[in-house]
Amino acid sequence: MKQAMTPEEIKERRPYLDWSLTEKEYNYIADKLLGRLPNFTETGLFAAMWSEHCSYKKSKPVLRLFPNKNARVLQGPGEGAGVVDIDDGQAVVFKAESHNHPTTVEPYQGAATGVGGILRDIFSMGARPIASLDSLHFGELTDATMQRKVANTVKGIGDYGNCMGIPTVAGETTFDPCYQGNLLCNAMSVGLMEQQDLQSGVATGVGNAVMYVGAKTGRDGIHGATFASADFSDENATQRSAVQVGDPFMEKLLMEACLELIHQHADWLVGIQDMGAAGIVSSSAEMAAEGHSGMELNLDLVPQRETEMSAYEIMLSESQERMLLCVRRGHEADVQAIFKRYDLDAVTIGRVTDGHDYVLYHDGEKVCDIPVASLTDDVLEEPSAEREPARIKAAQQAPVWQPVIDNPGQMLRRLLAQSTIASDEVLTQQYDTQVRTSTVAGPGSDAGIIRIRGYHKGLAMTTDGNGRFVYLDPEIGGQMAVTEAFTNIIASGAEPLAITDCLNYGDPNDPEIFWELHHSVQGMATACRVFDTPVISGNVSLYNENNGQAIYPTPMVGMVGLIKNLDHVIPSFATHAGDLVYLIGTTGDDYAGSELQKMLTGTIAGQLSPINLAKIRDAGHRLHEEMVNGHVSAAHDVSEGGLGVALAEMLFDAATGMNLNLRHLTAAQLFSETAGRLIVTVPAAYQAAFTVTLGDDARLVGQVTNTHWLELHLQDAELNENLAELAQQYKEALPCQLKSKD
Amino acid sequence: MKIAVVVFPGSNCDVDLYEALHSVCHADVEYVSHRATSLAGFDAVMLPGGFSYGDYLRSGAIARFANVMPAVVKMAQEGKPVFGTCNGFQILTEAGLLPGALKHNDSQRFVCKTVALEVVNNHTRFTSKYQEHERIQLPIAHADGCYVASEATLNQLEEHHQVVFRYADENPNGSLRNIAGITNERGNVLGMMPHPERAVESLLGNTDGLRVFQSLLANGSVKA
Repeated sequence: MKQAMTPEEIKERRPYLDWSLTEKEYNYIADKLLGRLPNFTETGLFAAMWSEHCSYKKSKPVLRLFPNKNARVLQGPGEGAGVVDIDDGQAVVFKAESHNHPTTVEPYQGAATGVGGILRDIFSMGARPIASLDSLHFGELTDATMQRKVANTVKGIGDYGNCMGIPTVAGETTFDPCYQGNLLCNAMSVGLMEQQDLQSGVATGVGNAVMYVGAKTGRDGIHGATFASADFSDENATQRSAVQVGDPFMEKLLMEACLELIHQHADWLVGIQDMGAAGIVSSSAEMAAEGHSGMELNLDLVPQRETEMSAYEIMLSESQERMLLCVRRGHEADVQAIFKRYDLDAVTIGRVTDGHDYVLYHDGEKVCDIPVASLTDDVLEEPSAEREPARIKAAQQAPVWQPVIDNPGQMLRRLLAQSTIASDEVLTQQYDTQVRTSTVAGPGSDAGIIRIRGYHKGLAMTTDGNGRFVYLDPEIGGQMAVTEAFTNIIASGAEPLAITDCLNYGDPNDPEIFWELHHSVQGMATACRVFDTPVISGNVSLYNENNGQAIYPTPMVGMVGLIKNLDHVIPSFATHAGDLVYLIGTTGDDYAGSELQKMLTGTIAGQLSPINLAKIRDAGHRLHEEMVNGHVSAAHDVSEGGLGVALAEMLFDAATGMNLNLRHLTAAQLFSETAGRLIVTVPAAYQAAFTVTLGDDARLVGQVTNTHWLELHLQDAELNENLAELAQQYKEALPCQLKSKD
Repeated sequence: MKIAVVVFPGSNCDVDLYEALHSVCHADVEYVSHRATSLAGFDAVMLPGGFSYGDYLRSGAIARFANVMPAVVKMAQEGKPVFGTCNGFQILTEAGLLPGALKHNDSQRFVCKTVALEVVNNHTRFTSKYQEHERIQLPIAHADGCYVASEATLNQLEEHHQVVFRYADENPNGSLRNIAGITNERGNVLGMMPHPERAVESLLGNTDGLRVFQSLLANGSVKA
């Protein structure tokens, strides 16, 4: 088939600009890397592989700031997902990925395929996915469009994960006007494996087969990677062809077939990789690059469900539910036999070759012949300009916002109905949270907890991110995101292991946005070092803008912890009347970026207080020690809405109440959002032991009572609220706000 | 008593059923592929939850044509215990082993939560270890759980004590007469939307489903 344009026409008409390849990059490729003009297919491959989504060319210098090793890390960033040792020869595998642009344009398929993609990353490593999490950030629920987007995003996540039979056990949902034109859909998957089954995305051994397995290739999702690497505007709001369509049943078959191959016939397999962003080209080129191999593919052999597809379309299609394997010569038929039992295509489309060239044939013609490394390693990295946004300086000079609260009970009721704080049960009930019957704690707890069959141990997992804090101060905001994940994992009774992340930002070519990215990553990295939770995998999503308006910088942290003994799982609910209530961490006047500030002033502003990470870590470790000693009956982290909201949340699903002496706090401080705090209940019998271990880190404030009332004695006010009434507010708010008003 | 758990390509609660029987009840249980054409040697068969063939069409509509189904029908005809939960229940109705059908939930949404049930009939081989009218809590997780049948069929089900479980407080899917689980007239085929296999361990917070399996194992040799 003839190329759509000649190399000379490409040079002259510059179609690559629409694919987000710059003229400078094009010239660099032609002059320095190839020494000739690239043809149409080659230009398309460069555009996709050099996109931010595939190459991380903008974010790479910043990502190097992250720590990614410790004694437990078996595989850091660079493969499908990160891998951490959890003893007994087992490993946990996890990664998060964003699908923001597709979900904004087509919420149902965008969200569904986001889940599908991250699951493939997990089972391509040789692990069986055992749990999913999400982190969703929507615009305000003021119009029917956003209500529909929320409903369809949640349905997309649910339909895919439910059909796959993987429980969705934790996550977060927030609402803010900054996500109105560009919502965020981040999905995280956690898998379990025997360490001996660990796979790699690599192609080596001259003559070994490159096999395509799974669904057929269509025209869906062409240029999805470049689509994800450019800003939104009303002009391109209808880029539907860049959105993929998911088929979870096909993925279930693909998963079972791949796991059977990996677990029973690892000796046939050299490498395996998901065909994710930029489809066949990224998976094949990355596998060849990883193995320092050459590769030759015949595109006529690629299973196709549409006719007349060009080489360019076949290579860049992001059709879902496909994998690329490198199989030892002579075992092609064996692999085919396995996939045939699952009614799946398995076709040898090429071979590993000597040398380092990436060669493609289509319709009997050679359509691409370039060095492998030119696609993967030679990407032009340019230093990005950065500049501190004026708002940061301005905030330092602005007067501090100090709320005055006369009626804390009324304020608590109002806060509980804020969409970000209110119960999201109406959404999470659409996810199967229990399939595989290993869910010890699901949505509504500080962290999801999955037991590991055959052992008395489990894994705790959480996703956390708050763009408001990062917007006000990227460095401290980045620390806060990791800190919240840390306190959630500690609260559940687990030891934090490591994190994955999704870095969601605006256009990095804007020096102020790049400054946000740099400084927030710096903050996250600092916290990861202090907590010894390295970053083992992750994803970068830039260009989250609509009509030139960027989202808040919103890094999401997905943390996993190990529970060595399931007897030490700590519930988030205080169910035992008579238990003592302790506060861990000191409460300050931290209203900047708080839910209270947003609710009362309609906006966020101000400066964040520095966080003492080492103090939070040490208190967390001491608390964990007491949990392992069996001295803690419940624990809950304090986040959005402050202590007031956290106390209520601890009691909603119990029949109990609390009576607390909080004379050291003002009514306003009840809603302050100082980072790194926990509420803990302790049976009276363990008071002495608990106090000895925690020392000054814990403050005794009262008791769990057997009436369903929250009674708080503050410095300047009293709060006495019926918890059943508060619960009603908390549970009915979101269903009500989601009902269409038109 | 040897129990078969059928695995369709899109089954995903097969592990849950197997583990409830194997790890918790220490029963003799084996997975059987949807490709199998015989269930010889098995005393009971269970159809798990999931999305048998993706269920993009009506849930269970393709599964009823699976190779294994004639063997399932044969066991039902022989009076041996046949049990289906969730997708398994949908398949049993599609295969004509149970009357009625399961429609999309009236909320038009998938729903996963724990609901209250009444054990309406404890004189079945699946429920003998429950008290009559006992209230239990079991998880549900389905999009197509709205049980419908003709007025005449519903009356017949009640006359013959074939309604085994009813939703007790709220009706989560719009099922007629709050029906959550039924047997065939002979009483050897049980289909139910709730998942008893998800409620067999205190570690996971609920053991109300355990007695479904204990009843069956205790009554294994009893003819229906």
